[in-house]
Amino acid sequence: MPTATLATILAELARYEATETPASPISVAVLRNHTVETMVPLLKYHLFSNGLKPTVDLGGYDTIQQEVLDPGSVAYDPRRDLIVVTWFLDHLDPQSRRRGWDPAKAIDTVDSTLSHLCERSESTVVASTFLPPLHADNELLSGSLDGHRVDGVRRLNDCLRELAARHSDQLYLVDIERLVQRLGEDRALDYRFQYMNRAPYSKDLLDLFAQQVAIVGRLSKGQVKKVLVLDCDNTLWGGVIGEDQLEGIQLSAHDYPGRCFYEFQQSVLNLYEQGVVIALASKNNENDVWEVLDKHPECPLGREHLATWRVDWNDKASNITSMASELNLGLDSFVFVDDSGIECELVRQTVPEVTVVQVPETPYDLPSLLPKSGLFETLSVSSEDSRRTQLYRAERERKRSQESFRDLDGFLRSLNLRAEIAEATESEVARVAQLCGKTNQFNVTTKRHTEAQIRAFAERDDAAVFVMSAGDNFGDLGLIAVLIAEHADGTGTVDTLLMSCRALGRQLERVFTHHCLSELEARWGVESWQSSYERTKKNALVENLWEELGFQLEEQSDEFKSYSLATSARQSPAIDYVAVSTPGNAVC
Amino acid sequence: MNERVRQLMAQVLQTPMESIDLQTRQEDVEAWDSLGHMNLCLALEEEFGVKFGDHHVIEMTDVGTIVSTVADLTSN
Repeated sequence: MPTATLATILAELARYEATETPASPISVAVLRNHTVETMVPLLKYHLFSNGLKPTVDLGGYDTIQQEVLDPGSVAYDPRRDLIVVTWFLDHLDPQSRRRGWDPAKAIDTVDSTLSHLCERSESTVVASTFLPPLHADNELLSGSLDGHRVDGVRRLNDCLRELAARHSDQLYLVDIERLVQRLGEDRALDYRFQYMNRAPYSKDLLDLFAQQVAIVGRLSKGQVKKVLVLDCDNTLWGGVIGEDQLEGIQLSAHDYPGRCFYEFQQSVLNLYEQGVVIALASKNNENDVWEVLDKHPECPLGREHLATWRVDWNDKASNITSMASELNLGLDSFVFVDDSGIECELVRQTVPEVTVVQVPETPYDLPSLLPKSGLFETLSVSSEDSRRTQLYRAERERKRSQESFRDLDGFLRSLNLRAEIAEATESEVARVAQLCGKTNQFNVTTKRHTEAQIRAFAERDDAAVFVMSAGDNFGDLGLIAVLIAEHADGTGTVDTLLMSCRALGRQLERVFTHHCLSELEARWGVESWQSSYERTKKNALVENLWEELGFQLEEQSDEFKSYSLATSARQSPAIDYVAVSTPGNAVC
Repeated sequence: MNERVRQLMAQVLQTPMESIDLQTRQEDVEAWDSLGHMNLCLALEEEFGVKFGDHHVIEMTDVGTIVSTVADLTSN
């Protein structure tokens, strides 16, 4: 597993820095008790390659606690998105090298420092775990003996895990031990510079560390990959189905190389279960492909796992673009996997927003291809995720049915739409945060609220978080819309109004907004509403939403529009084909 | 060899290549502090496929010594 040399990365970084990009900025602070200066260019490089424009500030050497306690420190810059905290155990507690070392003091420092940081800061925090000593006395007992140094480090890492569970929407861990396992001792640790410069981690280890931090950075900015588009021949199986026939292709749980393709498909199914939308783009006769998916005895992937597909002889760039519009998802959330260098290059050049992954020539590298890429990493797993492909399949059926109706109103009536509107409950907070984090198109202010911030809104008497779940004849859409509002001095303000794109085109936004505002008017007695539209690269869809909802434009610039509306002038939408229910079971 | 070393130093130490010659010493280049030196050693090792001992790291305080150390290690 060769990694790029420092010189290569510095050259690439200089190229990135010299290029004007529309990438969104990200500001990172690194607090550390060991020398990690080498990581700074690596981290910047990986943030750039994740589509971000980074600034990285390094805290002082071995001043983690001081900087966490000092409100004026590098950690608490108001624009800070991400704070990395990395401790090296030998420096945190020099006694940790001694037999019978008690980790209690180190645990206390780590616990209080990170708790304080998470409470004080709204930034996302990434902490590295502690590396157990690779060489210790009583090695044979290291797995079983209580009080062994290795056991002490395990307890320290358990403390980190508990902290991460307690701050599950804010604190993430980079497992240094696993990174060292991947590289091996000789490549991961540099004892020379550990003792000469207090820099124990090699450049290759810092590189893997930086890659993981960059992924957290990308995800914390809401840039999530949602769709996996797969080629078929020599990607899902070895060989060409049109020529080799069902018996001739390589796909098997037992034989080489068929087993590599079999396990690759299993890795795809794992992503499906995690909520990634799976699609096919293959130049083939459609029936040949179905023959494999429906009839091959050892083909894990089935038709039921696919949200959509393009199996024809059109070029794949156009096919991917048309799938994006069918699914109502941005091209930048697409990942395309193909073995053909030409197809990969065509997609790269024609639709550069799409992330392209080429199948390696060595089949045995295929099973680890997707997990290793980190493309489908997530910061949380919600129960909605695992249903997403089903939801998109239902959408597909709906679209088919739409085509058979002559007028939209008749179509919407035929859907038997139902909407459940209520204040968010505790169990819905993760889903609300997820929607805030990744809804790009139907999102008027694009505020990326975290779970903690949403909970704070929900707990305030002068604020409210409403959600809408919807469904129709074709199935449940799930929780698809969020409205956050607050009020002061007789005026209500809409902080957030967003809706998942899979619910577009049903006028549900009108029903939802009307219902929430009516309820809040009755509760708060507000006399007027204020709202705004903040332009991003992706939310042109709702540019005129407030006008459509009857709001008066107050001020306007290129980036921003503000509106107001007297509650007495607000009208209810004339929509009678959505059955609205309001369960009174809100908890928070 | 001289060229490659100078080029690498310019890149790692963020300094113009023209300002580096065989006589350049550590104190002549602002970014060539102890951490710059560590990155420089790492980059040289990667570039030339060599491994420095601690005495090399300590002794390589001018460009001439770097070039001769790398030459020694690559000829073995």
